[in-house]
Amino acid sequence: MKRSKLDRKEHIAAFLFILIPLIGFALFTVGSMFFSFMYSFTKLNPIKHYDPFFSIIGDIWVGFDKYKDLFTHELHSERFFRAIGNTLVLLLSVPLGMLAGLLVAALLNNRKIVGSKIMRMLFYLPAVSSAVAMNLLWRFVFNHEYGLINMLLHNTGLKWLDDYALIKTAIIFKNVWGGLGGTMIMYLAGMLNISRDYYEAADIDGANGLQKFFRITFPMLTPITFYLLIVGVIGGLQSYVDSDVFAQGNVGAQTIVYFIWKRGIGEWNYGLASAASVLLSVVIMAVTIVQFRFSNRWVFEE
Amino acid sequence: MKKTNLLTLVVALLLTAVFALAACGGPGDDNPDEPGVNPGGKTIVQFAGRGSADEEANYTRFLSQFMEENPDIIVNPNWYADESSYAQGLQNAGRNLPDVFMMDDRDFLAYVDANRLLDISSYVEQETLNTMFPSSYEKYYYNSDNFKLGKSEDAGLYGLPKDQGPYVLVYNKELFNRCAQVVGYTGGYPSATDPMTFTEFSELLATLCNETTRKTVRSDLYGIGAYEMQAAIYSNNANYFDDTATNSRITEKNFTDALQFIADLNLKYNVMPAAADQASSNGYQRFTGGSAIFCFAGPWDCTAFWRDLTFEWDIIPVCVGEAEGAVSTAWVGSMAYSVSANSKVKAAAVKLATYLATNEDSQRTQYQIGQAIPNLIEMATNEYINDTKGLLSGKNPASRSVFIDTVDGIRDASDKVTGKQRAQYYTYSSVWYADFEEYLNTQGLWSGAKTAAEICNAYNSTFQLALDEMKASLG
Amino acid sequence: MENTTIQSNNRSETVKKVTHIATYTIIYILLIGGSLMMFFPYLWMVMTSLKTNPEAANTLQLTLFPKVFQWKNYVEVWQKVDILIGLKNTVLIEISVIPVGTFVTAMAAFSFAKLKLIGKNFFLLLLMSGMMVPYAALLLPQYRVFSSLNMIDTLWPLILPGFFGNISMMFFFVQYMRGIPSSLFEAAKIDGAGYFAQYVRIMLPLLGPALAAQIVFWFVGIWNDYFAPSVYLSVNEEMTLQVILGKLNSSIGTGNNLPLVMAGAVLSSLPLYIIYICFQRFFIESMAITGIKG
Repeated sequence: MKRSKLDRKEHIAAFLFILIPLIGFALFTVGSMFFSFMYSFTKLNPIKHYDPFFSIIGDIWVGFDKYKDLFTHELHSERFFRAIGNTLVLLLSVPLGMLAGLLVAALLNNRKIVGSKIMRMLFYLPAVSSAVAMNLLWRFVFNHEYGLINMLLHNTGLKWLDDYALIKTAIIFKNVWGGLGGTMIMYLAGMLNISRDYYEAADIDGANGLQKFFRITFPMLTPITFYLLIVGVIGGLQSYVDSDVFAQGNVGAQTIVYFIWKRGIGEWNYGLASAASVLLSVVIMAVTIVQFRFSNRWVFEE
Repeated sequence: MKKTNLLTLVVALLLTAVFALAACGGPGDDNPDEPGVNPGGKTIVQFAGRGSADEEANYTRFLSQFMEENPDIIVNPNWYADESSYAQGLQNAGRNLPDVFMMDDRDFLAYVDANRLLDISSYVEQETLNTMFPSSYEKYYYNSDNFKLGKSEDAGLYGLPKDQGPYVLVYNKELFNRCAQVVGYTGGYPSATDPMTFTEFSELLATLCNETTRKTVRSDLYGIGAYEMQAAIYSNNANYFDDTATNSRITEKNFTDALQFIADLNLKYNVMPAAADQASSNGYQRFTGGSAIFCFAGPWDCTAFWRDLTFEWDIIPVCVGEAEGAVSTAWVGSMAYSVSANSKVKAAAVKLATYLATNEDSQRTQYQIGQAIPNLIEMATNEYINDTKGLLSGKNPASRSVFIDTVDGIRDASDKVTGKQRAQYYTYSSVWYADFEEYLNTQGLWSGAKTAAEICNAYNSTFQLALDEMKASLG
Repeated sequence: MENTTIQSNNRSETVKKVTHIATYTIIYILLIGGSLMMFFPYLWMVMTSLKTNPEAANTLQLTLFPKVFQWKNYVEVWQKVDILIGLKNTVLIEISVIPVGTFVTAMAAFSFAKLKLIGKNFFLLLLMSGMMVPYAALLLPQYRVFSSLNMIDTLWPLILPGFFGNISMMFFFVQYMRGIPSSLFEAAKIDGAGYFAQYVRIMLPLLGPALAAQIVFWFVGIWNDYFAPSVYLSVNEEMTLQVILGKLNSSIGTGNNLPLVMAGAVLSSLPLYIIYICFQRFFIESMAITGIKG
């Protein structure tokens, strides 16, 4: 009796402790999501429909029209598909950044390397730099007339900022550069936590450095790889600053969120913007769930 | 039992939160501390403006002068620096639109059509309006019964001009001279009253900017960094659509000829950078950097030009096409001062808007700092052009009359220069314009992959669809 | 026979040595090359900020170092945009969000990690699912709510959500706290300490390095946030550093002046770089302490 009373007290305390984040979640996530969802079934135009949403919802209800517009409307569908395509191509920077980060981490994970601390700092520097400053800088670096890249390539005349394929290459390069510090740190932390016993056992078996890396280090790091992949993909699907600040709206770099923002919200077509947002949310959740489902096939667990 | 209790609590909580959000979800709720009359008996007017920090400082001065002259009114200003977040703020302001606010004339139709703006025709004397260029304010008339823009019977007046553009050609005199000297061109500077034709312009640039001058003057030399699309189309007796923006006209020969003229500046004459090179440096950058002879500029560019340019420069009217009936036509337009239809202090708000649009001192300051040309006919045609107050002594451009000629329309047979509102002003929203430009880019007009006629013919039905959709948004 | 063994041993030693040197040479080449690649753009940014505009945008000849160092660019940026106001606003957000937000977050994490709660996993998953919702889907309704509350062009839309905690930080704390022995709390409970007291007196001090690391990460995140502030803030007096930097690129007069834009980028990043250099231990080393399992 007394025991259960104590338990109940603990339950209540525990619940109160998580109450604030729960309220925040309800207000800022569930509430907003709910409205986005409702907007997507309307032709809400903020200039015209400025009365409280639920008092006019009947007048502006259009059912699934906005979803249909995304896929079939002559003025929108092509752009929507293009935005999806661009976003997917730009996602390439996630695995590439992870690969580069892993490589650097593997090289730096050696106490004998002189200056490893300074190098770590340098590799991580982009992670503490503002995206805006970096995008301005890189736009300048890729400028084909007076940019650094073409100077190094001896004026090949590649028009990075104009060509639809080259601008994607430029963005991927820039994002790998910017992202590898973060992945490096995670991998380094993971490597420090791998027990030395494994390596000593491998030494006895006469394994060389590469073998140790592929047989021990890499498998032991799969949970981090998995985490980085999920976070990277979720972030990548939401990319916006690259299209806006770096590519300045170049057709070859317009992403889904750019589509939502410029086409939906800029054009006062909140229904269309919300329909695209809802679909994006669904896709992100689906991708995350699928990643989790397949994780047990390749993620190592102790 | 416990389980259900807790779960009910959570569900109830979530629902309350959602409903709390829903209750205030619409932006339409009235502001609790609505501006109006304060205990001291003074009327409070909310004002919102957008522009650079320099402009903000000027407006602070205008507003305090206004308050000195009207001691019963207090103006509460909010100044915004960024265009897109300002537009975002206005579109989501609901019933809380500021009493007086600056609004891009390209958004005018959407706001006026949604009954967001106050019809100020009964507040403003015709005499006051008569002091301004008709083209500067007549565009802010609208008849909501027949969706007709511009002054007509039964139309209301929904805004007063902040300024009026226009966007004309500017050239670097020193670079012009250096090139002319090298190639032995003796034609002198282009005329400020007699616009060049498309061909004359192209050939002049080809004379001044070619292999010879690129070798001797500078290797990155161009005639012009980019040519403004609307100026070319309007000046070739063409338009994107008919008067009411109902039917597409982009397949007409005059229209496609105008586009082809721009493309050929690069493709045929090699005096304008290719589209790709425009992405790395725009026309403005090339002009201010001294590598392009010509550029487009408006009165607002004077501030920066005076500060940054180390060379002499002047302006000329935009080029005129070869089509029949073509007149040199630059785009005019800018922002309006509008009054919110929900304003509780309408009379005071209109007073402020009128003051800002027509007050002599504020108009004078605008031209003195190189921000705008005066709205007032009297001031513009004498004081400004002839600099009778000596406020512009020694300052470029010498041919200030080009600005005025452009906004005052065609006066007589000798007047060959006029202006026309930006195309986006005539339509409900502006996205069609960006889409069209994007289509021209992707289809390779500027690279010569296709001709302007081919591209416009292919795009016509999509273009018409965009117009139809915007029409359907009205009302 | 013996000789040959020694010789072959010697040879294998030499081979080993050579491979060893070769390996290290390759490692150093890769690392130094990589470091240079990381560093060079920054160097270029600083050098460009000290050039004149024609020099920076010179299409004919590119130079790394300016002919004459134009320190006045910094003076000009300083005069042109109000960096101090941006700094004040950014810092204001940081100091209002982080203490409250961290306290709330760690409290919730304590509950998830150490207390009994029905439906605990459900709640945790629920909160975590919030990380998957794209911000673009939430921004529009949130904007309209804040607009109706007259909070546009105030710092509230950037501060208020932070008060309710930070979910990714919470997830991290939960993982970390699970590694702290529960016996500590059992003992405290017997001594009659309430749950709140257990959290404040025992758990919080134990969080030490994890807390520092997570605060540093959140701090950097807020500092560099651009999307939301640029949507919510358009009045000069309320802009954060990043928004001011974004505007510097577009605002009249400087939009086409590359050195000024670069000088602005340097100035707005400088405080963070100083913090980074002083606290780099927290940025880099503490990741390892905070319990990422290999």
